[in-house]
Amino acid sequence: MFILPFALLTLTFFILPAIATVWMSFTDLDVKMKPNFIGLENYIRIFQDYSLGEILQNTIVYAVASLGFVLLLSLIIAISTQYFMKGKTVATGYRVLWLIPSLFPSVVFAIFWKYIFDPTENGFLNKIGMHLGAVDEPVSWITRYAMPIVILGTVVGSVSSNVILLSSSINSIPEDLYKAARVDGAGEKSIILKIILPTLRWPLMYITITTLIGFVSSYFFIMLLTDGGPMHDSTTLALYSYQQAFQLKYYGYGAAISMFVVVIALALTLVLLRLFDFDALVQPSRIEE
Amino acid sequence: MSKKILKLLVVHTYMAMLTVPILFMIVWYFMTATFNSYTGSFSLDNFAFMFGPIESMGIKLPAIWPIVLNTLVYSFTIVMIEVLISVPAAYAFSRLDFKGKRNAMKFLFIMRSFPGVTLIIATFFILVKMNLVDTYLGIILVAITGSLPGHVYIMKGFFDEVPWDLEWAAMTDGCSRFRAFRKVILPAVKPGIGAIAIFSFLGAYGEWFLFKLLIFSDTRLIIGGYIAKLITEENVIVDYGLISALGLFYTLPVILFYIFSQKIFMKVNIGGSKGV
Amino acid sequence: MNKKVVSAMCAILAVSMLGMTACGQDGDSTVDSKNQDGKKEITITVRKNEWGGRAYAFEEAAVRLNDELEANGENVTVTIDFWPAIDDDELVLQGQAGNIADVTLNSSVDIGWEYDAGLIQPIDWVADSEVFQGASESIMNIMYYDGHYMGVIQDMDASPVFISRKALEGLGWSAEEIDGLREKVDNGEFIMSDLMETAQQAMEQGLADIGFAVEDTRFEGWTMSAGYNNYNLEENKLVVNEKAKDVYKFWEKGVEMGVIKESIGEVDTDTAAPMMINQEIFATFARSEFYRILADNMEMKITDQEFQDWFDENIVWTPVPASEKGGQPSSYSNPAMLFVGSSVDEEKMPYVQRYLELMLSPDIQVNHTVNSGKLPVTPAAMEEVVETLPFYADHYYMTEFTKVRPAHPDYAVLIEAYTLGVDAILTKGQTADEAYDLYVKDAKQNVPSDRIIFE
Repeated sequence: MFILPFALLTLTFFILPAIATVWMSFTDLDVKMKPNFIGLENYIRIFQDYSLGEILQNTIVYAVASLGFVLLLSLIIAISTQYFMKGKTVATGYRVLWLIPSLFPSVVFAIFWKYIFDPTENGFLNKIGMHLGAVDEPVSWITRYAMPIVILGTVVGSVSSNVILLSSSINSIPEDLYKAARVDGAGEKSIILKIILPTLRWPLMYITITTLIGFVSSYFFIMLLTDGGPMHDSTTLALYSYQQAFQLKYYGYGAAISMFVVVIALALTLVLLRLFDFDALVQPSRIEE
Repeated sequence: MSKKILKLLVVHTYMAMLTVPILFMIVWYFMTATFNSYTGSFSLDNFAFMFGPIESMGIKLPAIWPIVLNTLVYSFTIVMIEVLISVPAAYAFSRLDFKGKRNAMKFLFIMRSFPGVTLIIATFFILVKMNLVDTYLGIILVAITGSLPGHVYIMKGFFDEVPWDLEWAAMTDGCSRFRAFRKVILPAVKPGIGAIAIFSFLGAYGEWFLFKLLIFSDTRLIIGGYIAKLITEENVIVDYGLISALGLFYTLPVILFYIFSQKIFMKVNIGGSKGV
Repeated sequence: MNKKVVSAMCAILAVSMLGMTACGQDGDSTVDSKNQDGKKEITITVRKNEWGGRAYAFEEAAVRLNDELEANGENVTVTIDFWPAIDDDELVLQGQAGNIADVTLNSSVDIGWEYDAGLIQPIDWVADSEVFQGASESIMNIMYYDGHYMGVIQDMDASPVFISRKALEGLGWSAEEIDGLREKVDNGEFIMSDLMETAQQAMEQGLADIGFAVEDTRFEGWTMSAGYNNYNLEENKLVVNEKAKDVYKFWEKGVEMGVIKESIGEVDTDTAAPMMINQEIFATFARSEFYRILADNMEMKITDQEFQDWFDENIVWTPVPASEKGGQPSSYSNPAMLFVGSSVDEEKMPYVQRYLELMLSPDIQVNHTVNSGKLPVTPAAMEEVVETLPFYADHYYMTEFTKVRPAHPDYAVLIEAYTLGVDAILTKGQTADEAYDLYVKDAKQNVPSDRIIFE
């Protein structure tokens, strides 16, 4: 009864399309929209794709590195603003400032990075670099460091929603707990390690899984910033799937690649759930009707 | 005491260092929006979109205020429906025992591993079959399905935080389960409801991809789709000045909304913990 | 949360949902009907592209069509229902939902897949249409695909190279030499390697920071210049052959000489225009439209005498030089096409035809040229441009040898493969041979084998 609307929606707009997409991945669906069943052909093609190795590697580097930085930064910011500066206006100020980059739509966000790393003399980094004499002529940053730049942009843009989540969890820790710990002579380090981090276990699991999956399956920001280039240097699997399906209009093949993305995301999810000991977190209900 | 001040100083220093680039970013957007890149002089030309339809490099943008109205209606509808659906669902996941619960919860995570773009073509055809394509109802249902699992999870976390004893006590006092839910549990998870309301608002407010594919007319766009019109077919972004101006126009209300809601957030939470 | 709040929320919800569903019901009323004067009413749905002078063209043509119908005493009025312009994916999807506009505008390169997707229909009346009387064969060919005329060309361009006149002066070229450059390019005396050497000298002497800039990442001009033709018209198949290696050799040499930088793909025409004005770039390989972009950057119109004078003093242009002595220079174009949707039936077609023909009225075309910087497409319109816009009159002859991107549905896939090779040379220091191998490998993998010929 409680979950009926939820279940209905999920069935119509998730399970049905998911089944249809799996079916699509076994067809040669293209602009003609007259799909023929072609068996495993699309999947065989994926594994024969000479660029698959490189793209997989990019996907891993992108997702793992971004996740690492996001977790680190979100923790630092959440603990600083919600523990060290708890209740101060300046803490809200910091959080609001960090919120802004994640609020900008990707289109708006991407142009900032394009400006910073602009390959002409007008680019910010080139201007500074040439002023300081660090570089003699404008450097084409985006062609040389495509992946690090994409990661940097992604991290700055995705920190803040995690900060919100972590902060509200830290906020729910009663002051008394800190006081008691201080009376016992605990230092800041052990308060953070023994009180705050354990509280954050559930949100951290949530963040890790959702962020990681988000990164594995995201493509739009990369597409705007580098479009996966130069060559396949910053092409992730999700972007590749989008390019095949929408830019080159091979929907069937695109669907097959995206199923591959799903499998990876799924595997990651299951591994992480085990790592975080998911089952222990699902408490049995003790109240009987 | 001086040690405490020193500590705060350290915290402030690194926070400031981390935050300076963000400040720079914000200043840059203001500059880009208000300075004409050719003459280098101050102008508010880029904000002309606020006073009527405009055209930039062949892309015509309709008048913005009806779009803003669409955005608000759309976002608040989403917030309401999401709260109404995800709160009971999360309660069930947190408190009730039912067959396959554990699997259902894992399933929530698995749902998230499907990138939205993957399913969009299939979803499109389902909407066509249901006669819901090119309607707000259709897009709302699709958007909600996409974001529900995440919000159910967040909400479940909040329900889990509420001590069993609280509910137990209410129920032994003669409350029905439903009454206990309304009188005791709901107030305790208010911050959670606030949080998912904010998340679904932000998610809905920024939506553009679904609108691009599922809504056929320009007058029914919301602001995210309005801005996304400035990307050309080759994924080239045109007119930085205009985009920055639109970006600021788009972002400012959300920032105000956040500051405003953050205050409520804090109050509610402190009140709640006192009750415990 | 109390009961009242909940029920209020539900009420708001119900109302807004109803409102939205109601909103979703409008539109799609393209059924013919009679209006008050008993006249038959025909509605033509148009995806309105607003770029340059197109918005005006779409609207003005409708007014003229009705005037004409009235003058001819026909008992019909035509209403145009404008729909927003959308991207290709949405065209495909909305087509599946039965939402196909009667008139759409897209590039000539899109003919193949739009036809495959069943979105457009052949319109062979183009061959006899009065507006194309006396049009050059190359223009007629642009509209022709798979045995039919598939659309009406709306505008086109050629691809002049815009060279910094000041840089040439700095190198000691006399005014006669500079003015005579185009002739030498036309007859194959001054070729690509000469231009590269000149660019290199200009850079060495500090007359420019960047040798070559090119429009977007479309490198077609250079592909064609090296004599590589990637399309077989008779068989309607894409072609990969050793000639492509010459294109990559050009890139390799350009990188080696320093006239092509690795960032070339990121410096699009919008970035290049101000740099051209500041004399930071020696030569920009762009298209007719670049003239208008330069004017925009100086906040002038292309019809302004002041801009035209500035242009003559600072820029000199030629076709893309040939790669061998005595060879033909080249030029390429990205024409816009007006397509007729598969939704149009025989009864409606004459009105759609007339509507499109009226869009090509000379003055409407000239208005588009002034606002977009594109070339007009009919001889009649060209005559009107001669006096006011000398740049356009002067380079119109290039349309005779201008080529377009093939309309093959897999052309985009092929170009992706080709660009990989270019990127390999630019950013990975690979050789032309390695780039060519990569091109072949990628094209083999991604273009369906029955649609491509490897020679």
